[in-house]
Amino acid sequence: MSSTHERGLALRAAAGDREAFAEIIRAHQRAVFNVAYRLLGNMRDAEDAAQDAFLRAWQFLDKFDVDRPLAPWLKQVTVNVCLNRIQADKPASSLDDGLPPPKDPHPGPEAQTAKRLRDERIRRAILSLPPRYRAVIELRHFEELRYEEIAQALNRPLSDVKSNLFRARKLLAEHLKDIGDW
Amino acid sequence: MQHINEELLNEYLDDLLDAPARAAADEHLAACASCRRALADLETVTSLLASLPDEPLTRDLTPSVLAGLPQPRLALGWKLVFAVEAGIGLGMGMLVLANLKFPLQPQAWLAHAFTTLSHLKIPSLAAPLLANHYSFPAIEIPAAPANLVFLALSALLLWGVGNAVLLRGRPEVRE
Repeated sequence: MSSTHERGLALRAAAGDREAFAEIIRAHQRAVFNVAYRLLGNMRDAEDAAQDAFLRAWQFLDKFDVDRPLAPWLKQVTVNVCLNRIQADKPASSLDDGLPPPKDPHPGPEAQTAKRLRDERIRRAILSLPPRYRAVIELRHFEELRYEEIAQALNRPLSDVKSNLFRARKLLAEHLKDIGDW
Repeated sequence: MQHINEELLNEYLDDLLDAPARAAADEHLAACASCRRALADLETVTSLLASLPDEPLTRDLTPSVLAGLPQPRLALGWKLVFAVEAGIGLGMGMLVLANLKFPLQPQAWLAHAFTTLSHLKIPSLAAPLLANHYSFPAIEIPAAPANLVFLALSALLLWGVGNAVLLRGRPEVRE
């Protein structure tokens, strides 16, 4: 989607055009869902959170600066929605239920299976982190925000963001130190 | 030897150090196996996170998101249109109800109107009419047609109110 087209859609949606908003949802729903999935670890909860994120985006779209790209803003909204859900203890997920089902019911090539297991292990490692650590990992590593932008997105002091990020990386390194064996 | 602290190591990883600080860190890393290992661990984490693929969605979220949007409100202009429409309908309905109690006598209304006109000193307009108004035949509106009028006007009232309800969805303004 070109930035001009997206800007037009954002303007129309901000004025109340539901069809324009539907196009925005269709364009960004997978990315938004994946942010939620990494943070919540359960597909159903992630879908619910993605829906909530779009509803929240609709609510605040008229305050959004349409000259900025939509995707980073939508993802930041999603991170905050997920943090709220975690804090409210909304997800009824267990990590065992939450991991994705095998995509292929038939055993695939060995390398493919190993990759899937490794991906699951990384997801488990992320989900083992405290929620605020997950959020900074998501915003730094997947959304590539700068420290100051993360602090702004999460409404936290910069020093907290740095400390959380460094601790989170250290914990992940400990969880994943033998990942080469997978 | 003093090791690179955690903050500096992470900022090194994120390429946030200025040139002199980075050069100093490079110099230390070249000589310190422990800090090199710590940096390598962080780089592995970064690389593993980057390798995590996106999962596909199992369904299109668009319909459920749209269904969850708040009910739109009418734009102010349309609210006025419907308010006026409902007001007219209501007024006409009240007239009809009043007519049930005080049946219509058009000839008396005309006489009253012409007298008013003559008091307003508009002779050129009113004179030809004034000359003849007492000769107008009496018009009696029978009960049945009056009821029909009542029904028709009630339907108009319902149509006005119904429009206001049914067309609430458009055009809209944001919540």
